[in-house]
Amino acid sequence: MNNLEEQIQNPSEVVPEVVTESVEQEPSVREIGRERIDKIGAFFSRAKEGFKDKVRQTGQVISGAVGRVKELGIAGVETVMGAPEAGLRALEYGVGATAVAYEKSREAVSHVKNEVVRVKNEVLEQGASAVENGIRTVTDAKNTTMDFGERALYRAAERIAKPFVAFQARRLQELSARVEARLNAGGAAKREDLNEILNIVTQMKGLENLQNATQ
Amino acid sequence: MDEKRNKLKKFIEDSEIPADLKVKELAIVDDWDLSTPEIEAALAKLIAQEFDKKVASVPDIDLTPGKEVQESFSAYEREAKEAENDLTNDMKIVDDTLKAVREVSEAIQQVALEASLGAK
Repeated sequence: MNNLEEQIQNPSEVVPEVVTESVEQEPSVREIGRERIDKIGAFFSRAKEGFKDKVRQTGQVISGAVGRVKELGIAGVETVMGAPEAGLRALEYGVGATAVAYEKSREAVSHVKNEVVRVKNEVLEQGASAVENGIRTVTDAKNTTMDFGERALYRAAERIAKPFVAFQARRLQELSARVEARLNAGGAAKREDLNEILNIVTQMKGLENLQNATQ
Repeated sequence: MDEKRNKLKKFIEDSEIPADLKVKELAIVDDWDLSTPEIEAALAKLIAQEFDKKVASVPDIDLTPGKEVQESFSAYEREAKEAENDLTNDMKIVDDTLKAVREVSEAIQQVALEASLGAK
């Protein structure tokens, strides 16, 4: 489990506090929010791990087929052995390219799936003469699908992260204003505490601005 | 290092925050298991935790969320739910396509095996 997943699954201090004095028998917004964030973190983790496992498994099956085809002495199949394995680290995309690349990648998967079905019929009907093209087609399909899966995971993380940061920025601004008002009214708050709090709020706001500027 | 990750790193280095928090934030940015959106969410969580610790030391602060905060939380919940549904559909496409790839690969393996045995 990575840092984000751990943090999303332990959200006790990031959801809004709500007074529940009149509805004690019902879950508070805070509790609902905690449950929701737990579910998202667990879901994202499962999706990521499931994707990696399927890509690994498929890569092994293709390698097995390539091994058999090599025994036939067909030229060219060695090239597919150099096909990239599952992207097991985070992908990074150019600014503004994510949504467009995701859509293109989705279309590409639909195309390669049709190709895979077509080549299966060829292999079954034509036998050994169709295996070289078959290997190339399944390798291309695996790589295209891998690219799409990685982009889909990236896009989902992006869609979750943006409103999450916005929510936190609003919450911190609101609470810091209350701390400031209390201090100005002669409350127990200390000026140095407020300065530290305001620096943290500034950082959260800066993170939100940076996120919006780079999406 | 990619452009977005670089900007986040510089942003943290330039921020006026406690040194221990800065170290934790930079560790998140340097974690290559995380994509940049994951880093952004993790940083937001960490910053909010630090904030909550500071506010907890201030007595008598009303923590009830105002309308704007409630709305932004609802927007987050809504988008997260949609993203989850879309990712479920996308992973179904991935599963179906990879399953077809495995089936064809097994068919190729079988045909190649038969041809190999026939040639001997």
